[in-house]
Amino acid sequence: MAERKLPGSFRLQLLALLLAFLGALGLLAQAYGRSALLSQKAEQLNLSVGLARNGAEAFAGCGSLEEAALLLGGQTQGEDLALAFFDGAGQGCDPEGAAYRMEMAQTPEGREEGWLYTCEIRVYRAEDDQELYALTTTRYQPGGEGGGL
Amino acid sequence: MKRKPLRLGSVSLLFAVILVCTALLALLGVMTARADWLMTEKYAQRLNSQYAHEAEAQEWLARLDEALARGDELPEPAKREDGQITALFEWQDGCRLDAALRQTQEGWQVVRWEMTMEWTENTDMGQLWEGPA
Repeated sequence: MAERKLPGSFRLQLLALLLAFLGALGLLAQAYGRSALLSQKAEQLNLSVGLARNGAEAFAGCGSLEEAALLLGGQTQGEDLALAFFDGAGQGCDPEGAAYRMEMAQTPEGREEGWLYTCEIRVYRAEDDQELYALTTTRYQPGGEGGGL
Repeated sequence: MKRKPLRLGSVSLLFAVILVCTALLALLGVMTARADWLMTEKYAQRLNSQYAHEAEAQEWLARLDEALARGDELPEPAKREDGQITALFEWQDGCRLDAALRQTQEGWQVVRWEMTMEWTENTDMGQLWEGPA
């Protein structure tokens, strides 16, 4: 009789052990998932910071927003807005299939001897338009538009 | 035929070893991802503050241009030095801007515009054992 009961009890214990094991593995899988998500978020932020910095340097180095947009492989929409699109590796690409979109909006402020341009650079994730990073930079241009230092 | 009995103790031990290894890997993964995120966030904030300083300096440049055109006193922290106008900005976060301008017939020209960051080496070993004294 005892020999017949033993396999049943063993199976029950094994099942309980297996369930506990699977439960623990599930929790660990969640931890793996969270860390993968955080890594992806960090990678996206890192790339968008790099793109915004490129935008800021192009804005500082070029005489106009149009030139900066051309340098970045983008184009202007009106006088004070430029758009550029980038793929997952941060390379310039067409709007279709882009992973990131960068907007550069400039605000000119007339000063006595020139113009003070403030440019707000925003990088968005293309798939859901979520803003990833924003940077504000300023450039003074003496003698009005078209001039240079 | 006599079967060798499978003992639950050895199975539990195997599961426990697998769980400990997986948990250790998960912990390392989470810590690495978190460190990456914190580092990236710090870099992003640093860049924002650097460009805020740049904006402040460009605003100063505009005031300097106006002062030169009117023949007024130069705005702080500008001073004349060896035929150039120099300025040294120092911010509380350790950021410095060393600028120099040269006056020309057309107006002025920037000859130096260097933004640098003070860096202090981190020599703190934390709780690590430093060996026998």
